[in-house]
Amino acid sequence: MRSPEALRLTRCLAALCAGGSLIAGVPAWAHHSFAMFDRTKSVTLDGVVKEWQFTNPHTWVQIVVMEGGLPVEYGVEGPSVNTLVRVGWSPTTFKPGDKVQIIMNPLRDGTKGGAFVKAILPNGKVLTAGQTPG
Amino acid sequence: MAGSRKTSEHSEPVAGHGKLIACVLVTVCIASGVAYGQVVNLPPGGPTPPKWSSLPDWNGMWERDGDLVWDDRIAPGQSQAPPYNPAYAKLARSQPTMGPVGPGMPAMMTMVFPLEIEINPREVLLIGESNTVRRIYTDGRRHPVEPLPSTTGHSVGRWEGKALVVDTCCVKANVRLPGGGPHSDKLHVSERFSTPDPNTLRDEITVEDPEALTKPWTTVKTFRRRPDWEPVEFDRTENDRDTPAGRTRGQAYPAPLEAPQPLPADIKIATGAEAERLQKATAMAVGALAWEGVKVFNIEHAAAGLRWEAATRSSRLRCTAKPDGSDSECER
Repeated sequence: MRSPEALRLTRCLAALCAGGSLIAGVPAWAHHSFAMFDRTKSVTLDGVVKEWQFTNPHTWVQIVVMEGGLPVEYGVEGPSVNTLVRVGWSPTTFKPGDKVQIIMNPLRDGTKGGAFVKAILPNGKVLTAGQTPG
Repeated sequence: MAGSRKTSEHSEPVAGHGKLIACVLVTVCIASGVAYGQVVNLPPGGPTPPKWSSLPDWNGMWERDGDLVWDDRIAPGQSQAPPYNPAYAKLARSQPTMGPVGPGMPAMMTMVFPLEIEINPREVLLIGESNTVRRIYTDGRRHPVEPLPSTTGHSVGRWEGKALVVDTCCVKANVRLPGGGPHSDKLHVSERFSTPDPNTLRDEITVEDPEALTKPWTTVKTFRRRPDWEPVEFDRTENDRDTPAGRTRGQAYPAPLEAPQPLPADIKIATGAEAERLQKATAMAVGALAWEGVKVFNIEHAAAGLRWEAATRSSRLRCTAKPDGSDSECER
């Protein structure tokens, strides 16, 4: 496994957030500021996929993690469908019940969620936002 | 008109009829108050569309190359803000980047998402994945006499050989410029589209706004042909979790990020078939990145796979992949 602070999504996150703090000169429709995520921190979630929302403007993995014996749900936000489709993702990339490890940059406000960095499947397969098909 | 008496009026039945229709149309237009502005403004003698056979084949999907910035020619770390006059610079600082309407012109030409192009003698259609359609009329018509401002404005173009020269007016004042800043209703965009090679489309853009800018604001955008792509709908209302309280809109033209270290002069950029494969593998790992703009170097081969370094205008990446280039991963 690579260093947890690895920032894999340089351009994908630009596509995800078009964040003013990330890249100057964002498009006029820029969706929201990237400042809400703490890009200096990586959080690893070991859990079970509850729902995979392959949707726009952003995709979301809803993952349930056991914390202190209680199930806690996180929403992890990823790039848009048109960005992901072109690097091999699909509506079935995650399925409810899948055991996955997800690494994210957490929300600064402590809300249970963050920006998707990568996922590691039980078979060891690593998904960045730009997973190579096959 | 219904009488049987022969008059000179009856010798011109079409013209007389035309006057009546025009009269009715004007009445309807005035009554509705909107349609008059979009009446086609053809030159005397009618439309002058080019021949089908003279048109280049730009039809299909094009991925925008370069960074998500206004001008890739500006070094990373330098401001991408338009040359605003003090009043508009202040206005830009006082507002968040999201306009009430978008994406329009010229931001549509600088978006991260691809464009679909369809060409016929009458017009060139530029179709964005959020289903924004921009029409560039090439049949000789001029801007409307009574322009009705819209998100994409009103574009007229003429073919100069295989290049398309375009003039755009009438963009709604509440459509934000690339980067999120404001403009006035004096906004005017000039463009020249050309294909230095069949798979590369250049758009040279000049934005003028005498009320907001101190000088023309220019850029060059490059698009790469993607014959194996189909449009993928981007409906931003589908699952938008943003709420006014929950999210912070970005600031227009924030202080630029620190520029990455320039590549050492002695780096040898790889070329050839393997380099192209790794450029594509890098683009796959990063996403929303046209592979043509990626430089790869320091390629290492090992039994476990490939290792290489890559650079874009603003990023330095270290990448790995299986020996065949699949399962690529890149990190900063």
